[in-house]
Amino acid sequence: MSPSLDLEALYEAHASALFSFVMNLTRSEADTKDCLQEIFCRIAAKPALLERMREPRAFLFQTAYRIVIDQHRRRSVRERHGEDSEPLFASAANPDAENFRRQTETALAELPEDQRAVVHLKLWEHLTFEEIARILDISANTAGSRYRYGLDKLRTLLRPIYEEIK
Amino acid sequence: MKDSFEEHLSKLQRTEVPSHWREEILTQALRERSNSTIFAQEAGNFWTRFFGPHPLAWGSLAALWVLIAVLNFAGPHDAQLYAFSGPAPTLQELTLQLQTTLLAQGR
Repeated sequence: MSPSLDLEALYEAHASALFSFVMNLTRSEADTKDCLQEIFCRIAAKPALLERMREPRAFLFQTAYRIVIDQHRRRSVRERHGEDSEPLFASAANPDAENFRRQTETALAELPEDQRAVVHLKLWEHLTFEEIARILDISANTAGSRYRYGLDKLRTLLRPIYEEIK
Repeated sequence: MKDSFEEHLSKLQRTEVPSHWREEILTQALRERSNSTIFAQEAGNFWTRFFGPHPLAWGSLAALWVLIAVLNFAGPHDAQLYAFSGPAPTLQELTLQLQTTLLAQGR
């Protein structure tokens, strides 16, 4: 047991990014909270899990992704689709920007989960394909192609609103 | 290299973690930490209680097992114990001779 692990500092440093990533995958605040809770409980019980890691955030994303996959396996498709979608991005004062935000959330929900994970880590965490590949346990080429497929789909879905506000 | 569409997307501000989650998550995590510490201590205590009162007896038992293991490895192995030796080839030879004789007699 390592008393040196500062859970509060860990929470301050990573909870926001983890929240956003998991919310994008689950679209449910309740599931996101369960996931975050599980991550911090695992680390609290076995701090050595994290201490061996050179990149704690990558390890946390990887753990979060695995927990989300497990959550989804335990549930039926009907249960997942029945969930209300929670906001992913902060509301904007400008009506056009607000409309773009809402449509982006809807478009993201249409991406398969594996593409959504890559798109999120690339666009909002600014990770490289190599880093994403390590987190999702795939090759860098796969990460790259999933990103391109996902982005192309977003581009198609958001083209009308994007052309309007550009 | 991001294009303007990607740049536009990446500028969207993500929502923040609800503030009341912090205390709930950390409280539960700290409880988990203390539970696992208690479990580890109890596991340690169990072995101390088990072996502690009679160290000489447990030490002797361990030494006895070591002795048994040494004797087991030092003694003849199964292959040597059951190795074919002595009379059996003679019996085979006799049987062969008998068969040869019978064949020679044309029976």
